[in-house]
Amino acid sequence: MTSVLTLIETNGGGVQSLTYELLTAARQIAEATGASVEALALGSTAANAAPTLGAADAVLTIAHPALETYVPEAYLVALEAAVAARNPLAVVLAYDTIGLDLASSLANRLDRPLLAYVTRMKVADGAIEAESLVYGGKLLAVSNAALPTIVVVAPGAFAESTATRTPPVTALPAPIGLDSLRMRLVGETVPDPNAVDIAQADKIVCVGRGVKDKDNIEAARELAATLGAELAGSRPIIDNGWLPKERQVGKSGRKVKPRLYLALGVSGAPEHLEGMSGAELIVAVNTDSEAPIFETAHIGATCDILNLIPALNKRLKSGGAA
Amino acid sequence: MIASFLPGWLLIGTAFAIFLWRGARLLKPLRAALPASRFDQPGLRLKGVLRAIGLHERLLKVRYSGILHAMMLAGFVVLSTAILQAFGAALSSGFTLAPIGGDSWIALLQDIFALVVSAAVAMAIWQRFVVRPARFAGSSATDATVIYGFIAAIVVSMLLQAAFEIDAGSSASASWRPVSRLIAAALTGLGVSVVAAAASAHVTFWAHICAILGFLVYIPGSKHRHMFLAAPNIYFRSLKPKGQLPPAPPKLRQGAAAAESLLSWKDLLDVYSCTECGRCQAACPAYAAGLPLSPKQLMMTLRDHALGSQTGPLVGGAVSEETLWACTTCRACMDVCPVHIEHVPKIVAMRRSLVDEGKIAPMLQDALSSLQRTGNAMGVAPKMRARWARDLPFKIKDARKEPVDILWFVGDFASYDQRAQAATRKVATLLHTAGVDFGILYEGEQNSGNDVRRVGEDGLFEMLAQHNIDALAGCQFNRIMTTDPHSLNALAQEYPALGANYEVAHYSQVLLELIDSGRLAVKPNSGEVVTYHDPCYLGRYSGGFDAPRKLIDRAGYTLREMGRCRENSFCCGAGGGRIWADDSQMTERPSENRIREALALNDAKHFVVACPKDTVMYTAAIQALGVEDRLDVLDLADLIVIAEDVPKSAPAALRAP
Repeated sequence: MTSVLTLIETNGGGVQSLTYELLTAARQIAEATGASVEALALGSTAANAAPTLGAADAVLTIAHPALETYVPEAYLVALEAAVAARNPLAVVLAYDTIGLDLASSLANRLDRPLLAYVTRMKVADGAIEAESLVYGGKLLAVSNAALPTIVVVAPGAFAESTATRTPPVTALPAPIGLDSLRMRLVGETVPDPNAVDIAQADKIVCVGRGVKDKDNIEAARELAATLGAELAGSRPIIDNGWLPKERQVGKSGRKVKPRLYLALGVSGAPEHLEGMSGAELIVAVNTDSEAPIFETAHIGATCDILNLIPALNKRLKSGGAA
Repeated sequence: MIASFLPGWLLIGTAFAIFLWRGARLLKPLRAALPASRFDQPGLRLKGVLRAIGLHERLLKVRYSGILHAMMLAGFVVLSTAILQAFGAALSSGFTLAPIGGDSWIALLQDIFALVVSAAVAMAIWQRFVVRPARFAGSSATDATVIYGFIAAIVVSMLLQAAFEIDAGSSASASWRPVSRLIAAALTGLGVSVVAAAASAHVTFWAHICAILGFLVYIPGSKHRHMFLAAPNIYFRSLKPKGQLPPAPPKLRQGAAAAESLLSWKDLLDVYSCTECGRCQAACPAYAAGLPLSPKQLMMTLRDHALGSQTGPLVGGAVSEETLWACTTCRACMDVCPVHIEHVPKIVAMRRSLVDEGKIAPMLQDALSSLQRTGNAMGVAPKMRARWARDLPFKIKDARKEPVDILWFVGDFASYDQRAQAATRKVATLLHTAGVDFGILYEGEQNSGNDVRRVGEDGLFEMLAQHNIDALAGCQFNRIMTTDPHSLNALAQEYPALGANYEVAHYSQVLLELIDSGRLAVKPNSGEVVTYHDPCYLGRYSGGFDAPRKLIDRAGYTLREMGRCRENSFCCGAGGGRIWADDSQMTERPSENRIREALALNDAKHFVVACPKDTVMYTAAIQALGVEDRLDVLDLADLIVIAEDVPKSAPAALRAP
């Protein structure tokens, strides 16, 4: 019986939620081809999560000291060994750090086609027709690849599997290649948990000189909290020390692409626009109707933000009631 | 008889031997350094030396220091006769300058200039230890003190010797030495006998010799080296166009970042000649902004590194990356340096090695990859380049498709930045109104590469330059006009090194010609007060000081100059790639420093600029300072109001094609 192989990603013990999305994708291929789903767990503790991997028909493990943490070369050698042992119809990986690192190498080493950034699949007649995001998600590409193939799945495109049956665990021998790796882990750098990265924020409330006084920042901070947004500032706000440098949007600050960008009292100097014009929805409020921000904003309003901020906050808090 | 001169020969011989040995050690690194061809045009070179030293051209720009230096130098020339007399007397019996006036007018001059030198030393001490100008921060005060001590010792021992000789009755020039006579009388008054005076004359004679020799031995390890090196350093100065950087040495391509593969022998001669006077430091916008760059201290570091007292790697070691990226290449340091040190090319040479190693700040990296991808630092699509012209009521010729008189090289900021676009449209309107036959390259134009070259990315510069040269090769025009002084510099001074020679003018020059030839009638302003900022690459680099001022005058405004104007203009902080750099480490942005200077004039309502980068920098600075109600930024073109009775002349070339 043929199989579809997927990789269980763990991060310091726990299974990454992405793994369950991979299992769903793998299951789709398995059902269309009559194959089973096999989940590969690397390292001595990865198989501990087997009870949550109900969507898999079997869990394969490879244990070796080199696999205790993520080292790209070690994972690649192990994946290659697992493919050699099981000859799966498809290898399903996630489009994350590991997928980016390994998928193309693996495809190259196995001489199998690679479907990357896949959001949807149709599996029929021994081939996969996949829809992939290209140009940073601006375009959808449809491509075909005959099985066997490597499929790299875009995060969030497939639902997480929830089956809880405990699949059987089979240990595979550790390939000898793991004893002669050229790559080794030197150390880990853990990001500062208190550091903010406004570039990661979904929603941003950005204040500009229209905020006029340091004391008015607080109201904007409350509004941001109500919206579940990060608070950011334009250059003069950072210059004045009203917000820390890491919250600056613009050429000399961070470049952001949130889904919502609320520009309050920001005039929109080119250096600022350079840092935020890629946002999905830009709402600008400024007293000056000639402010250049309105050329970039999708929705604009001219009013005093000092009146707007508390009123908007109040309305949002009351769930939209006046 | 011979034996009595033996101590003299031994002493003087030993001192000269040590001096020569120390000097040779200094010059040794020069042999391993990169070549530089600085031996052409001896007449022109010599003339420069005479102007610099004979006229004290740059030295006198700081009046007090310049005067004291002139006193010191003149004193040294005159007292060299005394040194000659002393050595002559120590080495042989028959030596005398008496036949040419050694006991008469030369003696008189020596006496007078001993006083002049003493006064100069006093002035120098006063300045260094009481006035303490900021430019001395980081200079060696110990070295300076030792130098004052030696000079004072030489002068005092000479005067005392002459005085004791007068008291001993052995002076042949007593009647010509008014100062020494006064001292002699004082010594007599103190009860010095004739016998004691004779003995003391002998002692002070040797003290004088020892002071001279001590100084001689000391000089090679001191900033006073400039006494021997300033003249050759000025002689070997670059005669290339000011805005043309030396080519990247081929060795650099192999990634060697050792000092010898970055610096030429002239660079080393430069750093040896540095007198630590700090005029460069006082002029430097990066230093004023609190960035870790002082041109003076950089030269001192390079010197110490060349001499081995600073070890480890040069770039990224002795000289930090932050220091190198701080420079705006504004050239203020080079233009004030009394010994003509070339700071900017050294900084760019070291930047090149950083770029080679891929050590580039993320923001700069962004700009460079945008330039590579789109031909502009903003990363905007090339076809948007001429979008500013869309709203004009007339169509600008495409110079790629039809011949024009003036080919207008608009540049990135004037094309893309909306704060500068208004002035760009105004320039177009003025040219159109005057009936000028002009055109632009549309998307055929790319960034001139001037700042890219100064960032140290020579490969990308060559790519951009070649693109523009190829585009221009397909056009018919009489001359090029640029908006941006940085483009002006690239096209006029850098491209010739790539074999492309054009006649290039800044738009200030062209507008002035149009007004003065009567083709553009101006409705003059009522005399509002404005101030004007000289862009570095228009002023210091290209000598374009007067056309903008004349334009301001023709437009009917009253010009109130800031203290730092013309050659001393203070950079806005955008040059040399700084416009793509993070400015969060600055204590005060140079642009804001400059706006404060303009505000201090009190009566200037407009801050007039002639560079689109200045428009951007100063608009932001005025906003940052929140002084929009007191000052605004205007481009030169904004000042010109077209008179309504303009004669509609038929389009014709400014000059026959």
